[in-house]
Amino acid sequence: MRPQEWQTLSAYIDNQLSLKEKAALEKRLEKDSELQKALEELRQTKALLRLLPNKRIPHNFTLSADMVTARSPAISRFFPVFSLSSALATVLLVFSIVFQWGIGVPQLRAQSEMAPAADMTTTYEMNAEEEAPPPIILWGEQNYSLEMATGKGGSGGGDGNGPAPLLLREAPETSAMPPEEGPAIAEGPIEEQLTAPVTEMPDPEQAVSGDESVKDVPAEAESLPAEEDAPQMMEPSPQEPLTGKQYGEGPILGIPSEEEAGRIILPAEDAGQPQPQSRRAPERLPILQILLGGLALASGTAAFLIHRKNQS
Amino acid sequence: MDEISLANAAQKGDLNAFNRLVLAYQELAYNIAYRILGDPHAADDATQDAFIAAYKHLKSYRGGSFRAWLMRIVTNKCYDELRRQKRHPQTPLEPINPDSEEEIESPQWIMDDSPSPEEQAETIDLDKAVQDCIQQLPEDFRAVVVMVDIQDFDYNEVSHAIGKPLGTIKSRLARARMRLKDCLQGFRELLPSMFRLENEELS
Repeated sequence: MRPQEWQTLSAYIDNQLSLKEKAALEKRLEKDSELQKALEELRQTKALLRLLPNKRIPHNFTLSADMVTARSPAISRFFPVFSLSSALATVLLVFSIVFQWGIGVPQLRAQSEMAPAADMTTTYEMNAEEEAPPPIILWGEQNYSLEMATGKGGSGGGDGNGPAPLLLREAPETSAMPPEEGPAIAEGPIEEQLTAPVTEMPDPEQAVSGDESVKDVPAEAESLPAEEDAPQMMEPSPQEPLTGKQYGEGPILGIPSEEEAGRIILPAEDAGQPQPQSRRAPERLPILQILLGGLALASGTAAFLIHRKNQS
Repeated sequence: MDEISLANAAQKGDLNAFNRLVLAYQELAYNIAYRILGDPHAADDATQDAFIAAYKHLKSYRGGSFRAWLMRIVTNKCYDELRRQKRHPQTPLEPINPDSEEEIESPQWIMDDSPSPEEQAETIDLDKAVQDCIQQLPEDFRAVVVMVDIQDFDYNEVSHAIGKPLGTIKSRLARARMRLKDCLQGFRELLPSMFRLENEELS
């Protein structure tokens, strides 16, 4: 017999079938002896179970006031504390991870961009001892800083186009100088100006056209993203590495002493100095995350153990 | 007072009213627990815990059959006890022989005047046979067949007490009866004569 037929017979002996189902089953029972036998076995089983006597209760189960107001063990009262602290620690841990991702990814990107600059500076310093330094001419006022001349000022960190326009703003004055002392600023991007072979003396006509460069370059500089300025401006041309030694040796007017030049010529180091400060907050995060994770794990385990103890 | 009025009074904190309900249903609750668990001590604990839990959660009773609501708590306590027994299976006491430091398989000290296994088989009564068969049922089937066939609940009450739809109750009851029928075939000689005669006639 199929299970469905057993279920129909079971419902039949409990009078749970509809009139239609009941009539259909009774019609089958008249012809099917196997179905009759199964029905009789089910009836006997039910009757047998009905014969079982009730057990006497061992005692009254009435409740006393003490039983109703009985408090749970002291440790059980800490269950909400542990469970809540575990949940809070977990939430804070997630937030800290999200926070770290939020500030960590852009910072990592910036660091990865600065890293090649530092390598290049080292390379330049090594090359400086082997190659003859090209002269760098700093035009304009004597109080120009080397940062401006070497493009350091253009890096500007987060300022974007901070010092670079200052340099360019002086260009018209340099254009008024004699041709021999013509401006080194030429048309084109700032990087090209700063990294171009400075041994080539500027064309006086280009010096005259300095006004045009003043008009063009700031617009170009403004169009550059602020974050990308720093690495771009700090990258000298590989063909013409700029080092402190070069500054001191060339026939350059207004060049500071070698020590000062050497100090200034380390833009990668300067750019690298702020890194530890900016890295302090992310460095603290892993410690905080470890503490939060430990707290969540410990309190969660305690809550789980109390819960199990209460159940047993 | 009827059970609804007693339940309402108990909801307002009247412990005496609740105890009157306890007196009315304690035998039913204990017997259901005993048939589901198969152990009088476990049934005792489950019944007591169920009444305490019922008093503490009286606010969740919102009318209807108080008996079905109460038996739902009882069956839940029984399932909790069965789960606890599975987590902490009891091991028999096996004393260690001081000479060999090995466990004594048939300790003399635990022996009593109860009959031997052969004698037990001969004197086993119908109640125990049926209880053994009930214990062999899946846990979900036990409460249904105990309530319907032993305690004479109707399907709707069982549906409320178990928290399952009517179709599930019918299905579980039919399968439980089939299994019990097969199990009880092994105890035919213990069946009352009226059942044996009918069986012989049918067979």
